[in-house]
Amino acid sequence: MQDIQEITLDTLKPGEKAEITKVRVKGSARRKLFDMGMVAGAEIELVRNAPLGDPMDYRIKGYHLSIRKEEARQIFIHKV
Amino acid sequence: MDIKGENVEAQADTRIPVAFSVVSGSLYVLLGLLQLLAGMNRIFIGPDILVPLADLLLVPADIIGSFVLILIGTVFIYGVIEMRSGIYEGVSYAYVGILLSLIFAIIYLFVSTGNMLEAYILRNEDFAEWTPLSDLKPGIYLAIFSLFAFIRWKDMFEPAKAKGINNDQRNT
Amino acid sequence: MGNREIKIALTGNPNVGKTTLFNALTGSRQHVGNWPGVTVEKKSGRVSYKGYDIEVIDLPGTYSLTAYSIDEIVARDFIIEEKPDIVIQVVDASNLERNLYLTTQLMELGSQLLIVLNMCDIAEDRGDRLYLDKMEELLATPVIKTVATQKKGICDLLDKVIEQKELEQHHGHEIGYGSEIEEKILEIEKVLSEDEGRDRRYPLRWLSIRLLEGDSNVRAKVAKSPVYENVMAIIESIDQEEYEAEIADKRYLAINTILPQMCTRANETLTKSDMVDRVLTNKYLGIPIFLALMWGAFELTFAFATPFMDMIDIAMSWISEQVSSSLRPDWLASLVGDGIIGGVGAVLVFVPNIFILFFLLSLLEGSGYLARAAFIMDKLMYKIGMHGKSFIPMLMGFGCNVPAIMAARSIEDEKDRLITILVVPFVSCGARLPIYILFAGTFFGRQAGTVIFAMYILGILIAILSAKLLRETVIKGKPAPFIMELPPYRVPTLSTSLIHMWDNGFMYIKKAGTIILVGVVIIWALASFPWGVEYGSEDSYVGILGHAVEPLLEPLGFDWKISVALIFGLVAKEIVVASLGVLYGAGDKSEALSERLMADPGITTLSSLSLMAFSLLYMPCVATVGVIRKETGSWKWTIFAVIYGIAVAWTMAFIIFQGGSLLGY
Repeated sequence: MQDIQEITLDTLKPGEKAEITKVRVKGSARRKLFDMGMVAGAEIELVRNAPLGDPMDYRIKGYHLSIRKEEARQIFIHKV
Repeated sequence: MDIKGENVEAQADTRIPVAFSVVSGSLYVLLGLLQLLAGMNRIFIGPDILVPLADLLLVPADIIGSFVLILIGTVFIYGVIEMRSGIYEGVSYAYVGILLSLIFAIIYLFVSTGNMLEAYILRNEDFAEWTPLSDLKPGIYLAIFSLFAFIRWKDMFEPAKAKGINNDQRNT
Repeated sequence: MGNREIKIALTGNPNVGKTTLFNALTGSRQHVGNWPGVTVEKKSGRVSYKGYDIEVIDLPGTYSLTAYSIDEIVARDFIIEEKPDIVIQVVDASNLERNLYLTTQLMELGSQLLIVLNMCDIAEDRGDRLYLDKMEELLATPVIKTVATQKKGICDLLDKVIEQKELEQHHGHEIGYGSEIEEKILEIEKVLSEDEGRDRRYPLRWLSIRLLEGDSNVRAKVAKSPVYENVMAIIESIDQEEYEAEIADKRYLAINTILPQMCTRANETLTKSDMVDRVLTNKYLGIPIFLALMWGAFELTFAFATPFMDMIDIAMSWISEQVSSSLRPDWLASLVGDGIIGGVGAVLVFVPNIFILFFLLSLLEGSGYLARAAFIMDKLMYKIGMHGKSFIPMLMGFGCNVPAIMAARSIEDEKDRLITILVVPFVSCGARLPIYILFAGTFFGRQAGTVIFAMYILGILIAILSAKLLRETVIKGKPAPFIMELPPYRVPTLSTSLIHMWDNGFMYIKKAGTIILVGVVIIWALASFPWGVEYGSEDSYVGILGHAVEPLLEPLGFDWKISVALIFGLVAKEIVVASLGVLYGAGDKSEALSERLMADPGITTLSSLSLMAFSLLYMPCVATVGVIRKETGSWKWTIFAVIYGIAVAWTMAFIIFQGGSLLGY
């Protein structure tokens, strides 16, 4: 359990898929992330980074969602 | 999913886009460089000296325009590199290269329509010597190849046909 | 028999074709305004169909109905308070899961729901299968298929609307949140129901769920209730963050349970959109392509518009001459010919620019590239203390600052929005271009293009530095998180772009038509009175005013005539050139003005450069100031924007003129 929690979304490489386990983001971003489908159990794939390295383009629930590394760092995943 | 099968099939599939990208890409890059040279000459040597070859190919001395040409060429070449290394998704570059060359050709055509209005309807002195040929530049005539490819290969870029594998699954 | 009225509200996620459907439904019978009290655009329209008069209200596109943005609050308040007969949710058939999340919330609002499955063509082309009957059954909601871009299914939709209206039955469909949460919901519902004076339009269950989710807007709504303390006692007893996560989880869980029965999705293939994205957001090619496309948009907006501007110019001076020569007495001829028609000409001459710009922006937005622009630029914008989304308003600022500041509404975070609003005026709008064209064209000859380009760059640099400065001083804090959908690329629809162009272009004409006209007439009056002085001479009021401020502007290299023109530029920057025309007695003929400026020893190449920089940066036109006031809702920030702008402009012009003089130019 503990080591699963160690991996965060920002460590994903392009093309890799993972399952979200916990969203630790605080504040209004938390609500927004939930609304956009970033809930525990959702499958997520990193499509690519923006040309300047940040933000990231993820595929989740069949669409593309872009978030910054800063938030991705507070989202815990386990790879599939 | 049968990933190996995908690659085998993909490599056979990319020969035409590779060939097209090589030709189109190098034409864009070469004419872009020529235009850059012409543009530099105008700045450093003077307005009246033009490279003879540039004149022949209707290349204007326009530096920003040359970057656009080189950029479109680079997109094509980038795709060639990806496709050659076996990445099927490299066709994306051929597709977008075609789209970009068409978009910029449309932009140039609009601008030259504006110039035509200036020359023939408003009879603006700055455009006294304007003829349709003055605005015919590589950005426009090179796009003819792209237009041809766009129409000819429209189906090739359809998602359904992009990957043969999914076809049979859909048909069931 | 009078027509029967039906009021319908359109809701849905952004980028699902809601606007296209709205246009297809209402055609040209639209009214664009604002929601009362807030600055969110409200669009409504009417359609008569089979003896019914149907009013369609286009609610802001949202992913959810929480209180994350003003848009969401506007949408849900409308549904609850105005009780439209039918709420239509436009759903992107190719992305059911996320779209249905909004559906779950609309159901909790207790509205009469109707689902429009739009873009079925895209989903079906991709190989998705959609089972409409099953969907209607599982969601207990009628479902209609449309392809709004081809106006397919519009009649079916209207038939269904009428059918539903006649049914007058409400079907509730609720999501269960699990025993623990349900218990809390019941508890809160019970407490809330004790308040007899409560607003009965709000469903108790909905209020309870929202309170558990920590919705600040709803909390404020019940704050006046006598039972507020008791409600808060319950809410404080729970781990609110956990509940928030759990409730969202349960909604998606509910969707996922029914989803497989409603549709089967094709295997993921390489879609055209993915192909395009692969290149346009490529690590190395993304930024150059972005810059090239922006340059192309620029070429179209300016180069292509020029002949049309010339035509308007010619037409206006012809009318002006006709009027002047036929009117008596002289002062009336002068007022109408020089003042009013000159003013109208000054307004109309930018219409081609503005229309093309809005058309292109709409194409960019409709194609999905505008979101990529934010995606590509976010890191850079973040570094200067702004949000990727601020890039879009800044870009629009090149056309006209007024809609640009309005475009900042799409930024949810207050601080981000404020900074964007405050720095947009430094982005060189279309109205400033004639000033550059006149002076760069007159004094810089072949280099005019470069000088004009430099002015645009200067504006951008000042905007960036200002943003950074504001973040460090008065508006502290970090930019809001970047959580944005990158919608699939689509071929934009021509009609939507044309409507967008017309709406916004017309707004410019209206704004300019009133303010600039008034401004030009004031100039005319100040330049003509006391009656009998030579038009615009030193003895006229305008000359006296110019002399009064001359000492302040002298270090920048401006004489009294320029000072006068700049004072009038406060009304609108378009007027700077127009009033110089008046002051130099050249009318609205730019060539004559150009010659007279050249002949004036008071203006040198250097002072013309200083003037261009000053014009770029000093106080934006009154319309912009008005919009800043409206969008910030604060006079404090409005006055700040004005004073800050003037200070920056003065400093910059001072550096250019004095620095240039020192270097011997």
